[in-house]
Amino acid sequence: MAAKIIKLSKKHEHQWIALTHPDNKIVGSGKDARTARAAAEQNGYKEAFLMKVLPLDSYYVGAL
Amino acid sequence: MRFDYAKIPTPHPQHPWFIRPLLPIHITSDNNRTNIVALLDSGADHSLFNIEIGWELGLKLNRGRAESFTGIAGEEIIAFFHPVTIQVAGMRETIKIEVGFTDSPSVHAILGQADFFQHYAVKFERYKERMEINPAQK
Repeated sequence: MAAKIIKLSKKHEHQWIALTHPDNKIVGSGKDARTARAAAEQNGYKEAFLMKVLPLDSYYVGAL
Repeated sequence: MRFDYAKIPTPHPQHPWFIRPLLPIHITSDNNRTNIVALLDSGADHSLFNIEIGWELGLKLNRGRAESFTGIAGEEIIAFFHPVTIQVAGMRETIKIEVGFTDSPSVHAILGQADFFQHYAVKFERYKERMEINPAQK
């Protein structure tokens, strides 16, 4: 086993994305969770997993 | 059950990837259900989710119990707690836990000590880029 890549780019920062499991394929995105989910459903993925994309250029340590 | 870490590209040439323990979970509240990936954060006191996840579940968020939280930046935020049912994707067991919902833009979804780590044995194997999660044998 090895970590599964989520193919994020700068355009996804601060957006919500919808992912498949276990492949981590991006099947929808949008400015909020509802939009990302609707995009995934429109693409035929009714059980996608939502995630908010944090900035890609800074490390995360649980800061609020 | 084993899960792979997630690998996220960064613009840093010397550190091209963030490799994080993101876990796919199903969440239900009453008759509403949504699916998210959440970060396993063993250093977090509680589980915190972004407010938009609460909206997906149809929760009336400010009716929950309010608690304050402080991160390393020293900034205080308020989260509203609601009971939800969580099921790790691919596992049979469900657990009922209290999750805080917040509008902080730097919070997506964090599974913390209370209550997620009370219910599961979690083994991080960062060197293998995987984790193992099993129901706790109490």
